[in-house]
Amino acid sequence: MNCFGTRFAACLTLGAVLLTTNAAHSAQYALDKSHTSILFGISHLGYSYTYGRFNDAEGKFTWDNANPAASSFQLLIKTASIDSNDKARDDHLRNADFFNASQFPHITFVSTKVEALPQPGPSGQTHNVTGNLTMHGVTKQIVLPLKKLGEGKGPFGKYRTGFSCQTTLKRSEFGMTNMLPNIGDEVAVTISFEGLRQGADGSGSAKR
Amino acid sequence: MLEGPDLLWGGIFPAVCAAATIAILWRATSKAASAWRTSVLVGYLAGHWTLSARDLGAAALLQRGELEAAGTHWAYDPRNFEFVAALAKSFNASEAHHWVPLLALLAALPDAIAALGKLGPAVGWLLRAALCVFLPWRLLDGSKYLPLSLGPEFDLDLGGWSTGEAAAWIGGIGATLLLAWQIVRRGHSDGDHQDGNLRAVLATLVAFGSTITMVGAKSIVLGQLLGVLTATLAGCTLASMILRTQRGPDAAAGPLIVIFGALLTTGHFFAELTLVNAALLLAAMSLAAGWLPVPTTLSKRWRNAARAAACLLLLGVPVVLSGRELAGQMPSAEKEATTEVNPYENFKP
Repeated sequence: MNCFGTRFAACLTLGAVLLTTNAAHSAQYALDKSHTSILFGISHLGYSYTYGRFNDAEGKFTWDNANPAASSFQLLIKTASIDSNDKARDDHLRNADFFNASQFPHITFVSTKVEALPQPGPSGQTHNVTGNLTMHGVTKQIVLPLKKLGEGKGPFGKYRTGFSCQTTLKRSEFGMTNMLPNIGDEVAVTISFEGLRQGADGSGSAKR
Repeated sequence: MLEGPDLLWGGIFPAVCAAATIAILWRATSKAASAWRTSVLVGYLAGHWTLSARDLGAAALLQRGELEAAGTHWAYDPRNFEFVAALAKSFNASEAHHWVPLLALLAALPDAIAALGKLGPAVGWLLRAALCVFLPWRLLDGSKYLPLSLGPEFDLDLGGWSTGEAAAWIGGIGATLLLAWQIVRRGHSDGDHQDGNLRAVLATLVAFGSTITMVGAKSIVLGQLLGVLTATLAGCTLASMILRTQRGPDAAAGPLIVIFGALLTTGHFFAELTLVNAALLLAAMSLAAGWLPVPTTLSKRWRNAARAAACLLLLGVPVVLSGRELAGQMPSAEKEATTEVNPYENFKP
């Protein structure tokens, strides 16, 4: 083997070792629905804030403590599960005036980049997760300030990692312009979620 | 809910546009059919795009932080509206009701082509059939009924219709719309001048009743768009009566049935308009504007009475049911009174 061939083989070996090491650090998680909360708040006529939640979501993520850039997040929210503690309003929020849940049954977020911050950001975030949010038929790139809350085994031995994030979205940017400005444009969103580690080390199903 | 700018841009403005168009075209060409067809299109598109431009304008003002500076009457000033964005939305739609203007424009073609040459009627019929099948597919594509893949990230059963269900729904809606279109087109064959005016008034009433029904089905946006259609028909009717055009809404069968049918389809699948109410409203519109299946031996007076009775009966059922539903949602005086009772008034520590 000539000099170039030897170097090429060495590079390949090194790359394979690095990839294996990386893979060993990253772990797959499935969203634990019963410990996931997706909350929103919006101004009503400027007099008060109305809060609500989405009760049904699915998702998975890969988390790598040593190399956060290798992490990724995918979240899917079922639009019809909106709950603002008022059935008539929920029906209205589901139909063509707002979320149009029959036309756009899912809100999805798919990360494209995860960055660890050298020190916590203004909202206490430890990471910035950039990704594509698709809502109401419109896809926009957003940055979610993610705060890692903790990880470890739960009382039943399943390994969990949990996060939270808070952000503000403008509904008009997603084509939801009905009743502006009486119903506010800015929507405060809080998401807190836990994932159950998948694999041979004591993880289990993410279902309730 | 219904404010001044809604009435201005979704009511008066489309009515004036429709009336002005029919007047100009009738004076210029004396062709009543094309004047009716064009004015229904112009009135509806003017109202639809203006309401859309106003909503987009509100969003733009909010995003620029200029809403307060624009004052409380910003929604009366069209300089605050985003007309280009509203037009663009109709050609790059994300929501079903955004497609209605494009479908309405396409609907003007078959009846216009049908009047041309020997092959015109056959080509017109084929185009009508194609558009009636295209309409439900276009409105429902990508929704939960005909879902699109979410990509490799989400391994999820999206449900949706089977191929058979999709074919049955799309074929069924398409066939129903085509039938309604044919019924309305035949309206002129058994009508005269007075009949045309009555049909125009009844069609306006049906559109108005449909607006109430759609609001009862919990969609203000779709209700507003049916309100635009009501105003458009009212403008056309008034102008047509004054100018004695000797035609009725049958001349605008394509745009009328496609706009009305698209809004009803959207209301059923994306709001809470029941299939029965949608069918009754479409039947009421067809009988109001089009051919009436009664013996030709009946005198004109009895024919008109039969048309009005059948149409109002078909319209009455969904309107009354929706009205009751709406009334049930309103806070009643009794309920208000109970909330004022102080449960602690007899409490003595």
